[in-house]
Amino acid sequence: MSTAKRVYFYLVYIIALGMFSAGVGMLLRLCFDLITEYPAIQIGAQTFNREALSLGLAMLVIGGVLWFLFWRAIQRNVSGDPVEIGSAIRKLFMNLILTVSALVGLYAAADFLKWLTAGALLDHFPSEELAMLVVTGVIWYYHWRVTEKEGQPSPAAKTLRRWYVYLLSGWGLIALSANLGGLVNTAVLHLPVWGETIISGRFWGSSVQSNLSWILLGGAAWGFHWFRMARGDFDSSLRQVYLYLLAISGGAIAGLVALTTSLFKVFRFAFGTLGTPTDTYFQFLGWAVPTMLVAAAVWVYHHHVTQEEAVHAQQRLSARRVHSYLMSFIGLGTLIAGLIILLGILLDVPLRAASMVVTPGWWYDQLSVCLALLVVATPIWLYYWNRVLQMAAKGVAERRARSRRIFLYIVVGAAIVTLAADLINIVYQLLNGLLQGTFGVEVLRHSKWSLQSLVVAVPVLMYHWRILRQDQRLGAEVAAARKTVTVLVSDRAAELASQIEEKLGYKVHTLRYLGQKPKDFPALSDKEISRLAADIQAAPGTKVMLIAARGRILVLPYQEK
Amino acid sequence: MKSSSRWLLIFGAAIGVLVIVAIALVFAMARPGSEPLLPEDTPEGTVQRYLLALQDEDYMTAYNYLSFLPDEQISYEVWKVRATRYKAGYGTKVTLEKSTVTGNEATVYVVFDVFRASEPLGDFPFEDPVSTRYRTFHLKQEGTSWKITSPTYVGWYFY
Repeated sequence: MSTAKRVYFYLVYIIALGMFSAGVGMLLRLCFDLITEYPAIQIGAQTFNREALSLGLAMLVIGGVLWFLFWRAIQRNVSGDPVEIGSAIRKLFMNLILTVSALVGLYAAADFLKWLTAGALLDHFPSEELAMLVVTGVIWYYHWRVTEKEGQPSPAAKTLRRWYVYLLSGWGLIALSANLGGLVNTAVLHLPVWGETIISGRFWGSSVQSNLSWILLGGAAWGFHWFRMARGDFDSSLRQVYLYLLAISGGAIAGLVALTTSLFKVFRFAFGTLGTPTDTYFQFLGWAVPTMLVAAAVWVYHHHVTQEEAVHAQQRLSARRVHSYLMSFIGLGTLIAGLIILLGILLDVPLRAASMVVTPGWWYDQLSVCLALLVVATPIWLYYWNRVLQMAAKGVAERRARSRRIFLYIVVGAAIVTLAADLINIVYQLLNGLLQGTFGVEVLRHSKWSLQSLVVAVPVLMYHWRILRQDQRLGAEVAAARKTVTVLVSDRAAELASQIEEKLGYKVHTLRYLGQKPKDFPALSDKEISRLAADIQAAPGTKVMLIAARGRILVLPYQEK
Repeated sequence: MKSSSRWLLIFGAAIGVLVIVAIALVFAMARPGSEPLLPEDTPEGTVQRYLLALQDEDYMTAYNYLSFLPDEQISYEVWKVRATRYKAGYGTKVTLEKSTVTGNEATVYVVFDVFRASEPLGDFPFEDPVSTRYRTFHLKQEGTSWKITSPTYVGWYFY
């Protein structure tokens, strides 16, 4: 089938499926309504029901016939042909149907579960949600069976399936984690320890019912997609994105936010800022503790997975690298914020001393924030930055990595801009004070924020500037002269492309050799890969083809006519 | 028979059963003109009769179930013009949900399901053709009967 024909077939197919399923859904809902609402007093029900029946039948019959004809035509064209089965258009539509039906079905299931947990009152029977759940469930199951049975015979098919699998895995994990925290928070708020409550809602309310429903459904979605559908999928960049950027970074950020907030509140309490704290002061523990626990569980589990998979996925460095730089950036930013506030307190001492009225304990809140930020940020930054330094020590390829370049340029750029803005304000305040004859405490007061950030920005700039210069000296910027590298390999030598990518520091194109497969391709040592990378760099022109055959690799520079 | 064809047959049979059940239910459970009338001297009975009168376009009867605040009083003619202006061609099903009575005041909760059959191919099937509105009627007792104090205008429940 041509691409245009495929698009035509699948587009009409998906629209017909929408009509067909809407018709089935309408009839199902009508049946549920008629059965559950029978005892109710209604006005105009007859006209309404007949209209719904008419439209439902029309949609079902016309949409159903259209759907069947197009599905049959599509399946006839496919009929075991791996090119058709693996075509990107087919897989795009199939995975789109799976994603949409899964998500819509999960929301409908959540509403249905909420109704069940709320006491399953017939007056509030969720006809629409149950109909939607049945229809989307059938659509999802049928298409899932078809896609699982036919497999993923092309790289595009594998990639599109991965998008579906990791999207649903991530979505399920977020739903599960967020609602676990929400449930514990509601439970803690209902504990009889928060003083005298005048009005209190029931614990078993809509919020708890919703949390429970989503815990079940989020857990089921995550469990199914992560443990079953994503099992053994080690050679996947999207898996690394899910692991490092969603689960590990997301878990770390959520946990750190909760920890910082908790420490701030605890320091405030310890310094006695509040005088007599209210009975509800520690209610924040209701969300902060479960958030930290859930985030820690998510982080530890996924970190453990990455350790276990390191053997299989050593070639997929980019997501791990982005995670390290992202966490370093967050740690550094938080550390800088803590230091700026700390300097602010020190500068405030002479300023407050010159004031007419000084509130006792004015520094408690500032110190609480500053300590909370420093206590959390310092170990994070040290841990991740140390990892970054270890990675950089491996060779120039790491220093060329895009995430490292972006990190360094953002930090250096932000430090320069901050420094410039601070200097402008300080010089302006000094000159203005001298010229106006008002030089004194006021100048210091108006320069305070600039002085705070200047004192922090200078060492940050100097340190990162040195690293940037060192990278440049070692040839990190030479990476701009990248070559277009294409590797032609069989399945057995699939790892070769990843090893070369790691050594070069940028992506290479991979072509799969479909001819008679060589018996075995010897694993190359790190030294041999380095030599190969050097050959690629030394090859004339900007395009290089690598062909792995008969136990050796040919490096062929070429040029398009 | 291929597994996917077997599943198609199963789904087809299930849909066939659904169609038969839906048709049977619509005709078997229909209560043409015989919705049980609730006692007229109850808030639910008043709301039911008011809505039935509107459905039958018996505006005078409907108007008589209303009680306007002194500064909101409008004549029957004006009210009727406004009421007929909002007459929609959609099938509307009204379900009386529950009611509460406190002294001489009452509240009746109703659900309006409006079926937009006149534009089935508008955004359908991507938009639900049934829009559901939850509305509340407020009534007060006048002698032995109940009068609707709010809402006294008609258009809102058609949309």
